Amino acid sequence: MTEVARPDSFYVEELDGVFGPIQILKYRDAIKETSPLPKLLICESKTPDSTIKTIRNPLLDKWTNHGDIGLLNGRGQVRVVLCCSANANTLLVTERCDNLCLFCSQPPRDVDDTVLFAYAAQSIVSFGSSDVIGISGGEPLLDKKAILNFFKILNEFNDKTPLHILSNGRAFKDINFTENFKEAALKRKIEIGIPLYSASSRTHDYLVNSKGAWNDTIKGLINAGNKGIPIELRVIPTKANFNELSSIVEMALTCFNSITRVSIMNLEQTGWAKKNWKNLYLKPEFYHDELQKTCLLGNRFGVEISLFNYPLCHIPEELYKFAKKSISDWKNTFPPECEYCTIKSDCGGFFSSIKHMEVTPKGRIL
Amino acid sequence: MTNYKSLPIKFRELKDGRTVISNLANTYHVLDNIQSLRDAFELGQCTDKNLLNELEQKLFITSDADFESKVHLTTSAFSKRINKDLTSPRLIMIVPTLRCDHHCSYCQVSRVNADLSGFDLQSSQIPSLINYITKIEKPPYKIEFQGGEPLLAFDFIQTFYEQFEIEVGKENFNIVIATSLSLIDESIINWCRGKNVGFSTSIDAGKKAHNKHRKLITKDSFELVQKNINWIHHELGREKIGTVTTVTRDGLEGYDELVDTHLALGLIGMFVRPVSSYGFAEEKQAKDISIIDFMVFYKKLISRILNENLSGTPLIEHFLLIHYKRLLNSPSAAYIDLMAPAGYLKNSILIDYTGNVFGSDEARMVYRKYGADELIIGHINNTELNLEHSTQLLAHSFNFDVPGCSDCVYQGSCGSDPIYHLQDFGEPIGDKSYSRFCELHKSIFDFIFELIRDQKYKNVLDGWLND
Ligand code: SF4
Ligand code: SF4
Repeated sequence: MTEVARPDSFYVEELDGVFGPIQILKYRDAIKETSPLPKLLICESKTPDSTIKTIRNPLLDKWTNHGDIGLLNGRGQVRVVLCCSANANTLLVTERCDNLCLFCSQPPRDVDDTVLFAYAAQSIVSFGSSDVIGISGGEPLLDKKAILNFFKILNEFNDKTPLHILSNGRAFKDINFTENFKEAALKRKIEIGIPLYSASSRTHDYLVNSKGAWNDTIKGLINAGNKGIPIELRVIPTKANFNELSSIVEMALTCFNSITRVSIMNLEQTGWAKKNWKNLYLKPEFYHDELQKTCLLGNRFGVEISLFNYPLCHIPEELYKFAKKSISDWKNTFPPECEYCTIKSDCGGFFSSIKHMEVTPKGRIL
Repeated sequence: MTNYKSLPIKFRELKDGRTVISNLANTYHVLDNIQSLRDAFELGQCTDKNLLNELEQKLFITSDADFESKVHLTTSAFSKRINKDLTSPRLIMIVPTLRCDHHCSYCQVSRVNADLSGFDLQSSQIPSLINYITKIEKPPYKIEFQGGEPLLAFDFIQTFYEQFEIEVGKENFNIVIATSLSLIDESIINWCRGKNVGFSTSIDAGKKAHNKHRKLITKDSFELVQKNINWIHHELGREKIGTVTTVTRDGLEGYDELVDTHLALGLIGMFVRPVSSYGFAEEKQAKDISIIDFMVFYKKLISRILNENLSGTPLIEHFLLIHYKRLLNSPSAAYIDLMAPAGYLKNSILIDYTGNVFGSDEARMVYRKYGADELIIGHINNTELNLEHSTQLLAHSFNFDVPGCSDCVYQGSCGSDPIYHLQDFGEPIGDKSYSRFCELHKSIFDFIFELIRDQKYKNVLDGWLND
């Protein structure tokens, strides 16, 4: 494993015993009055008369920006959860989920964590971003009251932060909830990322390890789409479903409304995917033709189709234009061979969690 | 999956024995023969795993457990498709004059000589015209000037453009002038420079046919149109001119020449369809070509075009492409003559030189032949709308519930044309077994399934989807 490019977790002795989110400030005079969060001022020297908590910590100072949001665990650990200089910010709002996907990168835990929603809402309002913030879980829509309340708080602060919510879509099978969700959520730009792993319940329910999931997600996709909630459809090819990849996308684009884009995501070797890796992961070379067929559907339906988390040398050259350099700057890695690769600057590399990296660097022909 | 239920399907045996099936979601599959249709759907004893998987993914069969969701998926796709035809934009056609310098033998609108008076929209009516347009439609506006020969009323077009630009803003409209181009001159070209104005012109299949049909006093319509297309290319840009080809009896041998002409002019698109006249039966018989004859021509034409593409020369035939897109449920396949409910009124409107408003170009022709007043839906000088008859026509133009179409395999891709059927059958639905509309589109859809059997041709058609 290689080192990550940007550390996001720090130990700060002075914060021992403090919980929850804080907003990190770098200069005194620019404190946002409206921000509902406690503040932490990082200074060259401590000024004892300050009304807000002030510390001196060069390391934290180096890796944070004015306005970033940190989450304290009560034991002096601060994790930077929203960072102005990151290329993607995501907040976890619950660890609970009604699916148990075999490749879940964030395996769910059945704990009472509703406070996370409050943390997230406060953090978003304080951060005040115009860039998209990701909301993930667990299943963010599992507790319908909590998610509606979350939007209510954001709306009360007149917050307009665009959000991308990663959901299994099952909650939308409830048409009343879908309507309420739309009312609450569409006061800002949102997009819901909903994965669909098969055109039938057999394979989908197997992969998400939950009976009845496919039926719920299908109804959810229909309802959400009909209500005009923008949907990013996600598919992860595995040994179980790679041969129906294009059929899944074709069915989705034929049947659902409001699909804004389709993302094909290569499996990430974290969480449960680690223990199920052998059963699930299939080298892309074995399904190049399905990838190709799928990408072609973009023209036909006028919807953007992208490939995420694919090192370029794992896919055919014709598909480079669909590949997104997606892995966050601080989560990706390249094996040493890549140094000689002529397309490295376009390549997203690997998740740093990966065990074996097979590469075929593209060289100049000598 | 050995135990499965079938969902409702429609089917059609192609000439080569293969059988096309489709459903309400408008997905298609081609089975090897009628026996495999029986095996899979009538006897329920298909054992080909790959085929069953594919049929399941395309919503033709389902497991018991998924039945309800598959029905939901089907109905969702069905409504999505109808919604697409309900919400596509409207083309606004304006006939500034009925006068024309050509005497086309198949002219549909009984043009009048270029020097007659009383056949023009007056410039003084432009404010009411603009007022009317902005009331019935929202931006961006797609406007087409038709004739007669609109260039005989170029002053009118100029004034309209200037006033319309002030009213709605330059970025909110686009104008196409449908013209023979014979009257285009330097001042017109200069005026068009930098404006949202393009041209659409007719090129018939072959010089002989072109000049025969498009009689100009000087008899050189064909040479003139070529010269003028080049001129527009050069001065205004390639994207400013499109062509339409109407195939008549005299053009039936002209497929190669038609392609050559387009290629020589550097055109990368063409649009080819058979003549179809709006007139009395005897007249029609004399003029129309049979769909069978047209298809013989068309297949040779398309085969030439596809081979040009395969050898690296890009050329798109849009009539075929529209049908292909309809089969694929592409969102951009909204073609006025091929949608259900019909494009009539909903997606097109025509304002003629008297200020009368019609639901389509064809409605104006039928009106001129029969004096069918109920086809006039209004007038630009007042806000009264006479929609009773037209909404009846539209209400009859869903095709899933009409005889013939209801069990037709192409129903989800096809359209309906109440005005054509009204004039041929006296009512908007007609008898599809005698309908030219039906015969034409069915033949084209059949032809596409013939074509895409060959992967290399399918690749060409898929490549056209980029545009
Ligand atoms: S060799 Fe490395 S840099 Fe090159 S495409 Fe493969 S993973 Fe990317
Ligand atoms: S018009 Fe003819 S081809 Fe079209 S749907 Fe009806 S029966 Fe089928």
